[in-house]
Amino acid sequence: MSNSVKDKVVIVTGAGRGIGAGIVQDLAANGARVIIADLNKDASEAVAAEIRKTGAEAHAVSVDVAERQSVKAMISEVASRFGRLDVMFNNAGISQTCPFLDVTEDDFNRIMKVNGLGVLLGTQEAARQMIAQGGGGKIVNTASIAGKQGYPLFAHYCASKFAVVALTQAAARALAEHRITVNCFAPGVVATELWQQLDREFMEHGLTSKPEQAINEFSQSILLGRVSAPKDIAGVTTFLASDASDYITGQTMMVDGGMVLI
Amino acid sequence: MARLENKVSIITGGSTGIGEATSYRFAEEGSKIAIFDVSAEAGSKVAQAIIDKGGDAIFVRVDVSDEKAVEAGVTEVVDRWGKLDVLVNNAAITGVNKFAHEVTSEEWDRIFAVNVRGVFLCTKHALKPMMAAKRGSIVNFSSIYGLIGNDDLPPYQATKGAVLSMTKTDAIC
Repeated sequence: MSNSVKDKVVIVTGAGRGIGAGIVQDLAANGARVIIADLNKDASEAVAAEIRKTGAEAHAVSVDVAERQSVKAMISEVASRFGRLDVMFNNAGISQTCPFLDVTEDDFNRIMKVNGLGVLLGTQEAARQMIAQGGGGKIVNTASIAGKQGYPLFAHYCASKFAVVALTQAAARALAEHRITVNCFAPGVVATELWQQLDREFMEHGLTSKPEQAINEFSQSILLGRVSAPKDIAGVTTFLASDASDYITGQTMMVDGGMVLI
Repeated sequence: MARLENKVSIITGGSTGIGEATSYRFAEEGSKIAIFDVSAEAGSKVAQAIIDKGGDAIFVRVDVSDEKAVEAGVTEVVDRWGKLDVLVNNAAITGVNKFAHEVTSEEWDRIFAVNVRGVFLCTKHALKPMMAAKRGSIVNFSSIYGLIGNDDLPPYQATKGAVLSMTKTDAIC
């Protein structure tokens, strides 16, 4: 049993910034061959360039996780370039602050398409590659505390993250016979660009009056007394990509500093 | 990659089964290990095996349901290594496999003494050095039987539900 991810071929979607960038940096530091996939090619190229400076292997690709053809093309490019795919992180996601009564069909569909459908497509296409190459594989999805609790200002985001947990459980049951494990992790408040956006939206809705008030108020219940950084998440994500987690499947690992106790 | 370099860890029930595997793994990651167990023979053997591989380990005979033994054991660890970083509350028994109408009060009390009072006592006494140092990590073993119900080992399931509850409340407090 090893904690190593050395030489594993790992795709991380949404890795051009935020939690995704933190995930790939730690994987690369531990010897993985990482593929930084993002809608924004400039962002993924920049992360890849930083990682290559450390001597690790990193490759940037452009992907829209909500479009099957785009996901298929990415997996196929990775398979031909690296010969295989060992671990798929379906991490790309979006959010929006919106009072419950104001959520529109467009808001709901947009969030669900990226966060929910994106995880389904990424899991399906990665699994097809893993089944074809044989030997199993690992799929790790980014859920959230919003996948365990409903918050009134993030109703559609919560629905999409509950969907991630459901897809994780369903896929774990569906893919176990192929020795593919499927797990997700659930961050709490992570200081990334996403929270800067949410913080702005709180103010736009008149819910808060000054910058960082939203993140600070939302973070008051964190047992460990501080918001997290992407590196706080990386211990669990690298573990879930390593052989040390081989006997874990269908699970949601909370990495939230103690916000949701289940 | 030594992830527990210079840490001091107590592993209860650390001489057999999951506890034994945990002792060896912790030692490989660089932790100093105190094995708390009721079996001197098995506990000494695991401690010696860790020392033979270049690690640092002691066996302390502790019945986790006995508060004086737990308190003395924690004191011995802190006296020896100057601190306590990690407590793994692993020691447990499976108890009797009987339904509620068949379980005696003695059988019920016995499994709760080890599986629940044991976790409580070890946590209680480990917290003193940890609170003084303002850091520490306590790892409890619940079970799938702490999450779901079925018709196997009813008293054991109740103890593991209790461990899950203690884990959450201790984290908050």
